[in-house]
Amino acid sequence: MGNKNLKRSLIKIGKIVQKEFLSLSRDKTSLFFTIAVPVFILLAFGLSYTEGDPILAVELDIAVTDQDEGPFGDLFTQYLKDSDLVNVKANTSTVTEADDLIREGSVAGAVIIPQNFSYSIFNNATAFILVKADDSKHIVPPYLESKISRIVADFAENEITSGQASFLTIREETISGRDMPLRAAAVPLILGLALIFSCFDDTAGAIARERSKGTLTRLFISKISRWDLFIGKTLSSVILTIFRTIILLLIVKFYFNVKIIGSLILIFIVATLIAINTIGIGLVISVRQVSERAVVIANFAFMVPLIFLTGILQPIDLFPETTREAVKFIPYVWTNDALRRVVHLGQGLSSISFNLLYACFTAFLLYITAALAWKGRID
Amino acid sequence: MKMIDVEGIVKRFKDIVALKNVSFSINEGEIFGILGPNGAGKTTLIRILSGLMKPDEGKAIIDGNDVRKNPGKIQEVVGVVSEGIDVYEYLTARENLFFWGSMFNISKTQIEEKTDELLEFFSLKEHQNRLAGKYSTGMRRKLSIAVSLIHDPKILFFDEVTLGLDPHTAIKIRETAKFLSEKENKTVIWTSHYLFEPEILCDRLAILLDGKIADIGTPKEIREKTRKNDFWIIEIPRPSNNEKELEEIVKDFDAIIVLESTKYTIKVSEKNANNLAKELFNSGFNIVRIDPFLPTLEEAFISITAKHGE
Repeated sequence: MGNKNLKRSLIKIGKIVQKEFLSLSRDKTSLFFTIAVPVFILLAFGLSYTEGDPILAVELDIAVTDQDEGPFGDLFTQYLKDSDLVNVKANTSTVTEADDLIREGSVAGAVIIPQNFSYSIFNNATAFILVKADDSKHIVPPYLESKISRIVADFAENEITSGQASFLTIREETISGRDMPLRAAAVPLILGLALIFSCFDDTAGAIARERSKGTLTRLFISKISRWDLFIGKTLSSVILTIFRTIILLLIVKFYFNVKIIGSLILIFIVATLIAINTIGIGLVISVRQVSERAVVIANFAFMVPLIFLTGILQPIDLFPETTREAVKFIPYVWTNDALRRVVHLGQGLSSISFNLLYACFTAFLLYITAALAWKGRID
Repeated sequence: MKMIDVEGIVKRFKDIVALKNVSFSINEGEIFGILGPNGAGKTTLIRILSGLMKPDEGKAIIDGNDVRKNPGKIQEVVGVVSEGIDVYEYLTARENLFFWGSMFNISKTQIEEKTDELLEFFSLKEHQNRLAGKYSTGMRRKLSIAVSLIHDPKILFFDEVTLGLDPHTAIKIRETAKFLSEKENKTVIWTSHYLFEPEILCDRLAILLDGKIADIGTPKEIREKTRKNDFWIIEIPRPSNNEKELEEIVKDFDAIIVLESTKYTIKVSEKNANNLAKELFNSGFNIVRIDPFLPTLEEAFISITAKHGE
């Protein structure tokens, strides 16, 4: 009796498994996502991490300001240039110039060799190297400091007698000039991602729902054009985004205690561009007759890699070089960067103008693609 | 006046030909049925006629407008009600009507007037401020028809509209189609798998099979074409004072008599029909109908589709 029941159960289980695979093999969209999602996520995760120790593997771009007039300043600069840990991208004559390079994002930090650096070493006095880092990029300052520490240790061991070396230290300074705990530093990125997530459902999800209810067909039987639909969907999502942004900013300010230094209007402009780009992607995806289930999977496939590729878990500065260059094509990298600059560094329109223009350009491309793809495909 | 004129329409989906040289026309104010088994091409045809899709070959003229050249005009003159086309569930009936009205460039005053008229007509006035999602299936379908009428289209497509509805609502919808055709001179295209509906409703109908028109005509003409027996039907009102005599006459002609609530229906062979009718007439019976015994539309449909290997 027991064996008979077990056999029946096994047959039923087998049939369910068979049915699942048969259905999947015939539902091409789901089949694609089932295979593509893990591959895409694996690649996104894998490509954003370096092989081995990131302190060794990733060369951080830095600026060097040598204010010392003695030989040790030149020598230390040479050590920095020869090192595989950092890439000396610029030599600046003043600290302000170095600060500007950090603020505009050209370098992740700067090494300032102060006046009397050589004099202090020669006289067994305390000599120091000043490391300035952009603390609005979370994790970057400690990485930079670790790298410079290794170079300093190397320099001390080879160039300075043991008695002198004990007086060589590193001082750190950050450019925001305020306390920047990890969560606070990540806030603009989290804000950006929260907006992307919510906007995606405004279009892809909403259109899939309209399609399944048949209201999309009814819309096209009425006198509505593609562009009327696109603009209508976009405008409603933008209004929602502004509302969402207000709520998120209130949480950021009053719950996370992060002070927003820059212009709120700029934050809303960036949020709008995030919305428009996401709606553009949603419109392109919606061309196909995707089910609500497929939209949920697409949402997952689209969002999870973005968590990595837009630098939320690990800043883009710490990506391997190829990945760092590749992710620059993603509009959200630029919008998140703009949010960071406005929220933490208080930068204005001129500083983030390229970010905004790039996001406008990608939005334009997405809408044109959607319009062309939707032409003649109304249901 | 021809409201729809279709000539040699062909529609392909990759290597599948959904419509193969389809030609027919529909007159203004006519109720025209499009019947066919699943996959026959009905939906594709309706999509073309409602301006949602363009044919690959051939011509479809809707109220004087070519669907290929002027699809925007088609949208002004057609309304589509389909089991698969719904209304917004988070809008009230009134809000739905306003929303869809505004999609047709109609003035606010006109929308208001039409909304009131339609809510009244479909007995939805009392529930006009309830969310459509809270409506019963029948009420929702009525609202869907009302929405399709908001821009006062000349042509209405009723695609499987009575599917899943209770008999009362289904009757109301059929009456609506009849009303629109008879009183408002609107052209109605009706598709249904319940074949008694086109039989009682449609002026003419086409049977679509494998992308081609297998038959076209009035329901009676189609039933006549598939008649396989040689029986006739004679009807006499009931009750009659001399029912016994009637039974004896009928028996002599080897006929069958069926007692219905208001009439006697006599089924008799063709060779005896004339003589039986004469005998009944001479005996003073009031004959109200003599007709060949026809198959139902459903039987005719089965017969036609069977011929084509369905």
